[in-house]
Amino acid sequence: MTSDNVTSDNVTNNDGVGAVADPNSVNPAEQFLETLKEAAGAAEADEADSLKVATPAGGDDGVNKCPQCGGSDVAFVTSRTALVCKFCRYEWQPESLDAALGLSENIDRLKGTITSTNAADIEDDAALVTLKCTGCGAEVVIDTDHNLKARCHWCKSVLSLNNRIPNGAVPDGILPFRISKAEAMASIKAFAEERKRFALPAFAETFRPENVMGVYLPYMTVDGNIETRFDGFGEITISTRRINDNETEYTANVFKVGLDMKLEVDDLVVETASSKANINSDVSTNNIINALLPYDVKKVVRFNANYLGDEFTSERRDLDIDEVEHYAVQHFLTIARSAAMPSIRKFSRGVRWDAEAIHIHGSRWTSVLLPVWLYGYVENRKGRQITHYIAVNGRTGYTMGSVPINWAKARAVSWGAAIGISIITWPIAIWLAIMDMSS
Amino acid sequence: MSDESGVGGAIAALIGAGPAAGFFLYAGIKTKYRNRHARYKPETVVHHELKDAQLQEELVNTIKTKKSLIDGYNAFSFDRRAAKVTVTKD
Repeated sequence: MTSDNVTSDNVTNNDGVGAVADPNSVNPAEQFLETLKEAAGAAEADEADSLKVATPAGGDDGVNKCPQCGGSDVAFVTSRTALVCKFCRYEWQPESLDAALGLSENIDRLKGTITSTNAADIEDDAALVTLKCTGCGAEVVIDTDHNLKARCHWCKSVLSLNNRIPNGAVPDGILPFRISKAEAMASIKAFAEERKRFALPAFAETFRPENVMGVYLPYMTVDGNIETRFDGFGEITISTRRINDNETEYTANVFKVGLDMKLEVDDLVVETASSKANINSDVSTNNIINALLPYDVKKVVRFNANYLGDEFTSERRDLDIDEVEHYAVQHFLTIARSAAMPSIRKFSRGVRWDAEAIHIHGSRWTSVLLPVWLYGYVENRKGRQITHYIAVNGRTGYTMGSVPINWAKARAVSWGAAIGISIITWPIAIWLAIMDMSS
Repeated sequence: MSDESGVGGAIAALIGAGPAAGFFLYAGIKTKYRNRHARYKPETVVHHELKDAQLQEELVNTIKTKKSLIDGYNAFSFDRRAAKVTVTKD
């Protein structure tokens, strides 16, 4: 297969902002299939198997203008999840990426690894990108580790990066914040309030919910056309016999069991920032951020840096598909194991799976930024630093967190409870033993 | 015999109650504050369609046992991988 981009004529206009789909245009799903066929026909069989699908053209890099009046001051309004021009008050929303690319269609026909434009491999790790201001010609540097827009120091125009750059910072799509900072602060405050009794005093003293930050974190959505094979043993009870008050003897048939399944998975999400991908990290409670998933990724829109505004920052993707694919495989297998349950209900004594095999016919990857309200606290414990997060899903308001524990107090109270209860129960136990011996 | 075992059980429960309470209180604090168990659960939240499932079974043995479940029961541990995992692609 060649790795040339295959153009997919689609629904954005030349103003650089995604528009509502033309009802007379080709069905995106059929277009996507044709794209796949053209790519397959044009490719040589022994080359790399990755197919690319072009994400619809978004805004130009540089100054993004209002599609109505051409004004350059565009803001994102959280309460309406829409972009608004500050000059003429025109409001618009780019179209759903899912609809534009047909991402929910034809999962059963996926073959090979299909990537949208900005899910391609990172080619250059440099975080700083220089743009020439289209307002005055000055050079403006954007630090893509934390943002995808900057204001020109000279003419104050806002410059954005909206299209693919080699360091992977620009995604295909973005899911705008729907939860405001005030709502996030209230959620985080309530979460910490419920856990103040055994919280580390230093955490409680420095807790400032207003320090919560709105961050867009990088992920990929993955669709999978997969087959799985599980092998193991299952048992079915034939009869039982009561031996005594405490023991039962079971007679059971043992079966060697094999289960083949075909599955289509739609919109699995995997982390693509190395600082967040390891949910078992010892230095950072990444599982908290992981637990905020899922998001309503069907509502992801074509990326526009104006969604970041002045209020939010973004984290840059630094992992490629081949570095996160094993997370996707883990999740595929987890999903398959759950899907297997109805097939093995007959085994009353349960099943032990000894071997799992997964064959991935095809997968489709799209790079997105998802919204998180994040509060962090660094605990210094025995010379080690551990970062605790309290995080709020920027769409649903779901809150999860890790609050550092006052271990001394927790141990003291636990020992106190153990001793206090024992002071009551042990004399009773001794008395019972004496009574039993004397009778 | 059963009376003796009943009294013995009660004595053991009374002796163990205090330490057990302390242990569960400590574990409960860790669980509530650290939330280490919290994770993405794709098996319940990711849309997926099972297109085909074919089960094969072969009777290999009949056993007598005092255990109520198969040894190494793991059918419900969806996110714990089996002893052997193989991954292939087209």
